[in-house]
Amino acid sequence: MIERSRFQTTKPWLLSLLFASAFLLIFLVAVTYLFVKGVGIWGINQPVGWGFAIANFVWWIGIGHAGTFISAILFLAGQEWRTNISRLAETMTIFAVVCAGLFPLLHLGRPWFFYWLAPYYDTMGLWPQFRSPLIWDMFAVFTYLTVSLLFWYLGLVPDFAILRDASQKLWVRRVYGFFALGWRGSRTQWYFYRTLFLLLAGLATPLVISVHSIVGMDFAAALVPGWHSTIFPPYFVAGAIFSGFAMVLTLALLLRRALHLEDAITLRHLVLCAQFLLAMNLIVSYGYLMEAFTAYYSGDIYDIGMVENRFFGPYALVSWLMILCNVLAPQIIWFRKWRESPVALFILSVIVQIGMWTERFVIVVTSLSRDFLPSAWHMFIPTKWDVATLLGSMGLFATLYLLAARVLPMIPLAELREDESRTRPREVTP
Amino acid sequence: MKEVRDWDEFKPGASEWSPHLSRREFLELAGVTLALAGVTGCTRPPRDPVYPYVQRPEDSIPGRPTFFATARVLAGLATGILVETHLGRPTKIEGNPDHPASRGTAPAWLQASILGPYDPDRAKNVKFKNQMSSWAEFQKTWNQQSMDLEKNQGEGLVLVTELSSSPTLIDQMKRLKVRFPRFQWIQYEPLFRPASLLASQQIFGKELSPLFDFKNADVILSFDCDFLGSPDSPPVYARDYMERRRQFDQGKPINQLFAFESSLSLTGLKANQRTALRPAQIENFLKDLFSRLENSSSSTASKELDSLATLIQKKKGHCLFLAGPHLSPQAHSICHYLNARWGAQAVKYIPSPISSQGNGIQALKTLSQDLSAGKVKALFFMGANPVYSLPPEWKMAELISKAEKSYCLSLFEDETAAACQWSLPLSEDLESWSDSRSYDGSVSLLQPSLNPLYDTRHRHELLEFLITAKEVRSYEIVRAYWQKQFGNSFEKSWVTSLQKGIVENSSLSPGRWTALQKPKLNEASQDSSKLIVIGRPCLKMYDGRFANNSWLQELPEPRTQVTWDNVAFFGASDFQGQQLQNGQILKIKFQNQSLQVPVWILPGIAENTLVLSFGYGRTHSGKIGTGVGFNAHQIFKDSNPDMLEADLEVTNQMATLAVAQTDQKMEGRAPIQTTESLIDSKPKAQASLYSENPLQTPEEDAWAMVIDLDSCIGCSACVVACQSENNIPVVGKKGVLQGREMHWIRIDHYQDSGFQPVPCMHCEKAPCEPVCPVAATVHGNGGLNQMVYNRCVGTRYCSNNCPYKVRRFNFLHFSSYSDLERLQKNPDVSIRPRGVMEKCTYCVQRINEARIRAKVDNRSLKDGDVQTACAQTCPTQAITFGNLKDPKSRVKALKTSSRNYSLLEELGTRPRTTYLAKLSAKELKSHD
Repeated sequence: MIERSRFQTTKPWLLSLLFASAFLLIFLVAVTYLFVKGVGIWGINQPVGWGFAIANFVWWIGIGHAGTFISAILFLAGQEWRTNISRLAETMTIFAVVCAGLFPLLHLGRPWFFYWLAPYYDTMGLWPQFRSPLIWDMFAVFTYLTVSLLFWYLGLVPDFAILRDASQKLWVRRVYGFFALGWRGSRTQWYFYRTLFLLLAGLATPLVISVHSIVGMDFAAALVPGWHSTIFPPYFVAGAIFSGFAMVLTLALLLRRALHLEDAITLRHLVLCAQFLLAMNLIVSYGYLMEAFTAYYSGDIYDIGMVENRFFGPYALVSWLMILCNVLAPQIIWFRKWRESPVALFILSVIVQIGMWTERFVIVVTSLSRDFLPSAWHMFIPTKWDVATLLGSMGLFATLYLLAARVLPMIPLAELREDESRTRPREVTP
Repeated sequence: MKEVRDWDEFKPGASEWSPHLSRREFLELAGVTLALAGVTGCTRPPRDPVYPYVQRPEDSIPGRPTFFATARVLAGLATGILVETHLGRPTKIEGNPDHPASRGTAPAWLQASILGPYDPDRAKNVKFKNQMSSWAEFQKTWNQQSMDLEKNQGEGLVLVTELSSSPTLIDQMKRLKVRFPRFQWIQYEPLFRPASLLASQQIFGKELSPLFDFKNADVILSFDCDFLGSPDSPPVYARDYMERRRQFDQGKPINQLFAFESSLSLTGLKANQRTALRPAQIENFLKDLFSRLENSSSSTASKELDSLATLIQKKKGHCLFLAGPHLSPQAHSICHYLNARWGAQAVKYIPSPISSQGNGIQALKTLSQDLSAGKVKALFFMGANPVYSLPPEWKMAELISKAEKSYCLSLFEDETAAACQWSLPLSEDLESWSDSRSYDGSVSLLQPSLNPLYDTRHRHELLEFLITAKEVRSYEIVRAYWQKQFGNSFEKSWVTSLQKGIVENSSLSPGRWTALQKPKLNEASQDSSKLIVIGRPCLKMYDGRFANNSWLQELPEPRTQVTWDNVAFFGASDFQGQQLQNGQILKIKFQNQSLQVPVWILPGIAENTLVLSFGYGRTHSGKIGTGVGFNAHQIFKDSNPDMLEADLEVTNQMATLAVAQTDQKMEGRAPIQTTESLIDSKPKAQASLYSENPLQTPEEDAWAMVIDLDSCIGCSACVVACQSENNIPVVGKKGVLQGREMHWIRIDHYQDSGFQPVPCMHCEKAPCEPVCPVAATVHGNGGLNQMVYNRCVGTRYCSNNCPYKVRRFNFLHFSSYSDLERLQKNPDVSIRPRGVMEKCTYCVQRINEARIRAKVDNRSLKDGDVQTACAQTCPTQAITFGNLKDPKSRVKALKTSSRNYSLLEELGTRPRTTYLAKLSAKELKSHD
């Protein structure tokens, strides 16, 4: 199991890394050019002040959610099956939040002043403007990253110890040993570990809800038709978990195949994830329906105009693609045949992620492109740099994930042992 | 060796970076720069005694602008301006309140002309056959040639200038005549049509031109005459017309403007009643109207004509008949006659300040014959650019090369300069002295406000050299002329004229005529239903002379919102069954040639009529103007320079047009209200659950603006004035295509509803403010919504949350100016770097300036102390700015008007900028 829990330096792994880092290179080029020229290299304009960057931000942060959801909420809910996929999901969370966190910085007109959003004691006596949702956002994302990182690391400590003990080379042992923090697996250590784990799970649980609620409020607090809606916070959280579970499925299926983890990530895990996906799909679909309903129910011409623009305007294709991917496609989960087919689930998980990205595009771009005064309406057309930054961020994620999967176990070894020990009478080790 | 010595190493413009730099040249320059960098350390103190700046020169207060009264000339007529200068560099042009043509307002082209002297593409050097030369070389050449010319009494010497009413220039021409009795002077103005003057000759027996008094006109019939929009129409016409129209608010019956036109002009858009007619139909209608008015028993009279005639008869003495320059002399003669008969109180006929003698196409035709016969020895072009504006079949460039010597004195190395042997750089009018008459004949003196940037000469200086072979400065030439005119009181009159910008009592008194000749009517002209193509001056480029002006290029054409291009207007959405789309390329076929033009569907254009705008398709205009649009001058024939019967072919190609406003329909919303729709819209329910207390402003001021939509004619002068005042950059065609225009005030155009200028609303509850994470946009003194550029990090959230979308973002480094362009920038307004949001400030720099002045004078601000740039320049005074806390302010009075409404009031933003609704159709048609 220790062997299979992570990648070895093999040809397929190297090739994958090469492929991923090619995209990372695209990202670096795109970002460098962005810093040299300014955000004008993207397709954003008046009135569409936010484009791909913010859509990407919401998408990535949404993906991150499943990790914390699995390790914290499902842990508190006593869903023991979550153990097997928790490590790969948590790792995903960390890197997704890293990718997400970059975008609000990159999208600034003057990114070198990003720290002005932080409340620090400044000689001019200036503070950030606490009424702005962007400030809440910054706090939320940073808190989330911190807690997720702690949670992830805490879970890794016993595994570092296992790797330390299993390593042959001295320097490797030393490195793992350093991170293992002297873990011996003693009963006291386990006791404190478990307490802390429970505490962090309790701490992370509200964060899962709050982060994406606040991201939702970035939009809901504005008065743009299509943004100004009280449904946004819960609808955003559901959407986030929806896309996150899709990403968990993608990664789980890939790792299962690559590392031959069929025994650890069983069909049962896949089916449970799929069922979760379906549940979230229903909430998200309800959100879509309610958005249109409230628009017509309010009779507000701007809201009605927004709905009609979404589905019959110049961006109608994107909106219908969103409906196809997010509302219709996941319905196959109702059928056992599809639900239990890894290939079908893999394709579905990719479709849902595409769908969720288009949803963010629809919310950000189509709402802005046609708001109140027709005179100000203008289309947003992405440039090659928009696409390069999006693809590049995927390269960043994939590179980080592949590197992590080389050195860290993607299956929580200690927790699995623990599970085994729970079911079997404890053996006395000499 | 001699050439080396003559070579001026510090020639003007030498420091400008050449766009075509070879690798070798670059390395040379780099090496020399490195070497010279060390040399600078070796300078000695100046040998002669120098004195530091201890006592400041009179009139120079650093940081305070100085205003110079001068004028700008278009089509031979002057409009008075005040040039704002900061430490010797002009930064902005305002209308001169003392000048009759301007009365303090300045149209878009005038505002934009401040860029003129700073244009990096200006001609800077004397060139001979495209090689660097010098004034000395030119003088040598001319001196040699003038000997020969003198022997022949100047036979073969031809001077082509623009149309000019300059007394000094006319006097110089007379003096030139003494030296070269047989020289020829041609005034050529591509868009000047002599029809009005020819007709006046027939009606009055002499050349008179009408002077309209719109304040006294109750009924105005405009026959294809765009007196509100055309750049060559004096801005005061629009102002007077609107002042009279606004008296409706005081209960006076509205003035009735009837427009009969083929194109859709700004005048037509404002008319109480507009009829789209083909040119021939206009002529026929005019004839019918004439017969109906002269012998009331005309049988052909329709009901419409009858009611019109009754109205005219009722308002006798207060009716105006305006004929557009493109109409026939006959139409003009009818209008002159009817004006004299029915408009006595509202029109005066004065001796024309410009003359039709020896002008225009006919004179050029003779010239071209002389050229091909090889009779022309010395050909001078001074400002005129016929190679561009004449159709290619004239082969003007080829003909010019047949002249023994050809010289072109021009601002740019333009099409004509490229065809001439000698290209001589012309001084900008802001750099030299001159004079000109205005539309009413009054004379303005043009004084410089900028030291010449290059070694250039003005027309007067070149002419003086031709006369006396001596270099005399324009100052001395103009002064010498006026010394003769003013006589003993010279010094005093000279100074007053310069200070006021106008020579006192110089306007022309009405001409007298012995007998009014009745116009002779010929047969009703036949109107074939064939497609006709007509040409009209561009509202921005006029005849193409402003092509290199980036502000005008980026200014949205009011009717189409197209920038950086010209389009052909067509009235229907299909042509002979083929669907047309905006931007679709049409092929106009004429005489085995064709011209490709992008079409723009503009309902209201006369049937089967395609309208082209002149002024585009320049081939030698500089970096900005070269290759923009198509050249409409090239398709028309000499017999009718504005109209042509042609065939059309609809192609499937599409032109890429940069349109500032992509949607020009109201889409079920009502940004533009009329008095009627305002009554219909019920009082809005409370927008907020919180109580709506009036905003408490602790300061004594509450700045606000009211924009009268009924008075706005869409001329866009405010947009350029704002651009000039607030250092607003241009973004280029690509930028407009991407939707990144930077104008702080834009003029929205909705088809069938008209124009709406939209600056920042300065909402009392501004949605932009709470969303900024770094508090870069906050409420300031007097209720201003302010942008703190230094604090802005560029999240663009404020712009997203602005329902009016008036915020502008520096997506790229738009404000990268060369040192030369930087001279024009207003030092009171900061230049915004990339990544920063900006927007209308209500000209906060002017508010602060006025506040400081009031404090120094120990008084409080009074109404009118602060004028925003847009309000100041608006030719129709549609924009009013002031303090709501001042009970006597005009803005306060307008806010209580029944026409007052807020844009998107239902959002509860409580804008400080509000609008006055347009008059309803019923009110527009109301007679007494």
